[in-house]
Amino acid sequence: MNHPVRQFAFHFDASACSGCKACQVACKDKHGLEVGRLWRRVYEVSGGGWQQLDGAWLSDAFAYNLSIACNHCQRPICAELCPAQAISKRDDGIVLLDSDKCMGCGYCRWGCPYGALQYDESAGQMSKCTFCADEIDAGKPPACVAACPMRVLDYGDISQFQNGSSGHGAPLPVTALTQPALHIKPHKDSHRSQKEPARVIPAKGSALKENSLVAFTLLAQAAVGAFLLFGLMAAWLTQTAGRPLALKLIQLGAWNAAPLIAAGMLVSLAHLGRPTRAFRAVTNLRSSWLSREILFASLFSVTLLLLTGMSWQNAPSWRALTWTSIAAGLSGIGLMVSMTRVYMLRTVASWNNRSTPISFSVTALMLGAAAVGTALLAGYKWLIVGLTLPDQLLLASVFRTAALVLIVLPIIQGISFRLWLAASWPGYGESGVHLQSPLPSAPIFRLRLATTIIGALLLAAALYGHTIASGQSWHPAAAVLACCLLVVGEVMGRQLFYRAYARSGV
Amino acid sequence: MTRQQVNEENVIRVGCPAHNCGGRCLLAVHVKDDPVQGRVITRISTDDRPGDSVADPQLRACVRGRSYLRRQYHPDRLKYPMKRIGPRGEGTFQRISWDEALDTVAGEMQRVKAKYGSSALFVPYGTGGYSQLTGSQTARRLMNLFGGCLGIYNSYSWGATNIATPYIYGTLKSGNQRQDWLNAKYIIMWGWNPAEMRDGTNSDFFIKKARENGARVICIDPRMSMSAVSLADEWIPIRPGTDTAMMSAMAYVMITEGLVDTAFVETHCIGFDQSQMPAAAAGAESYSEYILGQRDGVPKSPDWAAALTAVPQETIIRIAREYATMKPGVLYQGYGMQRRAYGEQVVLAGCALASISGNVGVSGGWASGLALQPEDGPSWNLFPTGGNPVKAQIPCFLWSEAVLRGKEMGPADGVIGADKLDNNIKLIYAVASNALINQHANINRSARILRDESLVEFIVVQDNFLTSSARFADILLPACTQFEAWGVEDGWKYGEEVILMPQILEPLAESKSDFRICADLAERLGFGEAYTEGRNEREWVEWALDRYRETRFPELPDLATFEATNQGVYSRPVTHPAVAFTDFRRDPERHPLNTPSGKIELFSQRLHEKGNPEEIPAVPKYIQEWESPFGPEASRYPLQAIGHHTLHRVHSTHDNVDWLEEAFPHRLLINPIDAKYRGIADGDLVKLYNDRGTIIMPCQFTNQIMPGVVDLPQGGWWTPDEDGVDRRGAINVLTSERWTPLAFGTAQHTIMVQVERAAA
Repeated sequence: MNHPVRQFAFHFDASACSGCKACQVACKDKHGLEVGRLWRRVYEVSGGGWQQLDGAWLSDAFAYNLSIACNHCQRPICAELCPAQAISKRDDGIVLLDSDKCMGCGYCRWGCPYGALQYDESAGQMSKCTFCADEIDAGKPPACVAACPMRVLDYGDISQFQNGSSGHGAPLPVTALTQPALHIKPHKDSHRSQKEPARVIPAKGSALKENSLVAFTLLAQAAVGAFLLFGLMAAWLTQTAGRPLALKLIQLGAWNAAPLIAAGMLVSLAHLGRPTRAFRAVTNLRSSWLSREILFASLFSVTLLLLTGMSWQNAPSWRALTWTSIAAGLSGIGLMVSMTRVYMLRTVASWNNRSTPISFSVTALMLGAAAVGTALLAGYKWLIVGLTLPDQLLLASVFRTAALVLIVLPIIQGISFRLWLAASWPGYGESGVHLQSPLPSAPIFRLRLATTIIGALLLAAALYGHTIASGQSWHPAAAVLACCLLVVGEVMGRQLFYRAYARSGV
Repeated sequence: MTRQQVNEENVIRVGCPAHNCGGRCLLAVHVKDDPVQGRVITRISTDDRPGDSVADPQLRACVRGRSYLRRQYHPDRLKYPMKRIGPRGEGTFQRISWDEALDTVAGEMQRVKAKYGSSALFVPYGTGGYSQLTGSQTARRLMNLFGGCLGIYNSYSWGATNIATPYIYGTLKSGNQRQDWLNAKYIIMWGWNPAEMRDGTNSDFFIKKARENGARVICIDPRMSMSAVSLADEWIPIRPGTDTAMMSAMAYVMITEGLVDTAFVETHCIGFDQSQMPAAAAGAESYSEYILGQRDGVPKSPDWAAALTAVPQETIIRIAREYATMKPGVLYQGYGMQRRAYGEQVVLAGCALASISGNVGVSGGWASGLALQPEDGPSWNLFPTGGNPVKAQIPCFLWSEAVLRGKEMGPADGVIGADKLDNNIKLIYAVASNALINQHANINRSARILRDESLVEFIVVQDNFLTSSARFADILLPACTQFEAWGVEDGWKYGEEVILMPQILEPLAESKSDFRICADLAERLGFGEAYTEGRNEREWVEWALDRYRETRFPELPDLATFEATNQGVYSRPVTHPAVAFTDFRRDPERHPLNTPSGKIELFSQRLHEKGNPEEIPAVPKYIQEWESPFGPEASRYPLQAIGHHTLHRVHSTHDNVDWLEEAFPHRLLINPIDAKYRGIADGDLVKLYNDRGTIIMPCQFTNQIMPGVVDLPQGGWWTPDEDGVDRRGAINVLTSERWTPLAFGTAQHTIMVQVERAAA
């Protein structure tokens, strides 16, 4: 009697895999994959060494191979992450990527601990092993299984393969992460890579270079930071009866943040392989923090636009302003939370710890304070128009507050940095294999911190100096230089963040 | 590219193009008819016959067969006949018509024959094609009908073992059908890597099955090869060129510990000790006297061998005991270790071990040596080359000697069939061969020789691509691939099948099949009818099937039926694997071996009579190689280099296939200990050199090779820069043209080099 398959799985006998790569190439041929795209990858894991003893060479070198495609996981992290809902799971367990929906953001690739997702340059989209669903539907085996000259690949319902050891030791990730439908009979030396350093060829991707995302995250965080700081100051001022000033600060906040978030969202399109499909990004609110991030970013942008519009009116409704500001503020916070969660991937140990929210928050405040400080200095003449004397004194205290923030933040920055380094590089990953740190040496870190700290202190000095002697000529120049230093420092920091990307697995 | 529905109507089963790859496998090519291009192959799958048993397993293609479309549709395919402009070897050509090309070739053949004689014509060793109508045999037939040419014997692959094996066993058919391995308790894979070089489709699969059946498997190899990784319970690294020393030490252990199968030795062997010497050689050194050091004062003990082999003596002792007691056992010798200086010795030493352990003529055992199939094995080529009116033959490896000084060559240079050669080689017609440059030893020397137009006056090269040999052509002829021509193949060394290779595609541009080109030349030379015998290519395949039916496969269907089934392969299951020497084992008197004594000759009278005991001893001996870590050359060139047969290529075929380069990037493989000592980091460009040439290429660290040994996988295409430095990595830049003393075979793996970090 033919039971329908509930979860198709691969069985791989690592004990007899020679690393011949017939499986890898059979797959490439079937699916027409160009050089650089491997839907099935054969990894060589090796280690050990040599010692000489009385003229003889003693070797404890070990080597074995792992042939991994997509594991059509029972907890597919790619499907959870995809903002466009382009990845779905069939009733028989096969996970498929719909190329009609994929916008090429690459988020799935960040999350998959098996390297299954492969970018198709010519199509601007992600792609991956399909379990040869067309062959399966015709009752035939996947191309890789049929190809193997040593007959070490097999397939079938996962229930067939559940007795015996699962063979998922390092460098493979723990199975709980995504519950791969992959059963491995281990090689006689598989256990060694769990206890000793082992080299894996091909090495997994690490140390991301994502300039458009560096720009997007910094701009978005600057926008939120700036708006929240202005908003907090405005809120405090309304308590102390400084409404006209508060209104001006709100306007300044909106005018600052709106172009920042707009620019950020525009530059983020450059990250997509298919930017015309960007609208799909909010489709997966159910499970993808990336969808939620884009939703909050959109809400933030809209509310800021509304605020900007309202602030142009002669006598804007204070209630409307307040509520819209609160809505914008909440959207901004939602954006910060979502953006942080986007990076807290359970398969990326170097990001999935408190260092990420700390560094994102500190950056938001730092860049926000820079935006605030620069806006205050640049907009002083406009700010001062029509202000009563008490309000002018309040304005001076706003300047001093901003200066104080800019002195305190670097200290927090420095502490958070130590935390970040410690949290990102615990030395050994969760599977016991020493993480290869893609981070550069300490001098780069010191340079990054120094740049930001000097910039912050310089801007603080300009702000404070302004309260003592307004209109001094060195203030604008100092402010510009300080801003540049702050931005450069944060850009370096964000690039280092992406370079710290190190996921589990292969 | 869209995924295609599997549709039986457009799938044709066909033999994988028969290169010298070690396999004969089945492909299923998926075709479609394109309105502009005609029929195209869209993808390739492999044998999917149901069953896949040990007796009749599927013939699954390797990574090279699976990536074949990247070769078939490679943009660099030769499309038109070309003639050389500029100096020979520069590789600049101009397109010409077929008429001009063939007129030129025919004209030169006639000129050289008239001026010098037929023995000045030469078809070099070439194994790029083996499917009857593709390959050098087509040109050999042409030459033979034209009055003959200088012949060749032996091979590059099996030079030493081809000649040595018959000295001890009287035959080359010392192997069993492979399914018999499942009866073994112990298997030594000595320098043998079937998981990568195949050695018959499914050989690696059969060893896996033997292991599942309980056999303990050992790999003895300087590298932890793919076979060691996937098939071995233990890997024993050994210094290249010292295998005979370890074998001798194993014999020492067996003799001194009473583990020799003395009953078998007494009844089936001669030369073990003085009680069994041939009368004419009474008193000469016997096998055991050599092993025990009773004549030369050097007992071939495990500690003697440890110093040479870098294998710890405890390991040698243990392996000897295991092989002697875990019986029946297989000692399979790979071919790399006999492609070395004095390669004959390791062949004989391995056979001797198999003999004294009593593993000859028993199921689950293995007599070692070349080990062709007993009784009946693959025919390789059936296409008749006819008799060669020129009787003189040279060892195939000595062709460059025959260019330089043919008229001085005689039996001392391995010439057979004549006392001396009448001519130097004056005309070369190379078909499916990259052995003029790439695969022959000492590339820089061959290039110098071939550049001199006063030596070889005319060179024709017929190939699919502009290989390094093709660069030296005067006329370059574009050949069809095997998808574009008819063919048929049977196994590679092993196998019980006939695999059909119908023509699938039209020839690319103006390319023609090897058969067609030679037939057209024959026409011009006045014997077209004699060449074709009135058969077109399809009819020749029909003819070949008739021959198979008469000899190996009486039930083989005719071509029309065979084609109509679209099965691609006719196979005969092996349920009772044949074992070599069972009759001899059972009754050595009634079934003597074809040796002078009728027995296994641990001492060979014939070798003794050659009177060259230093290089051709009568019993197998360890002889220090002429380039080794133990000689003075090691002070300048301290590293041994080997060139394993990588899955990236079939010798030099497939070097230009991108998917294969992606899978197996071409690198010099070096142990980190050797690299760090030289300040080399993983991935650095390195300079690798000796007196014969220099290569600059990227390196890759590996722990899977002994320190002191580097590995440059063979077959990369020679790519000299303006300084003559090879930038791709062709190991023959470093190899020596010196040949082995008995077989006149290649010793290309005996290489000492130095490695340094190269500036970018």
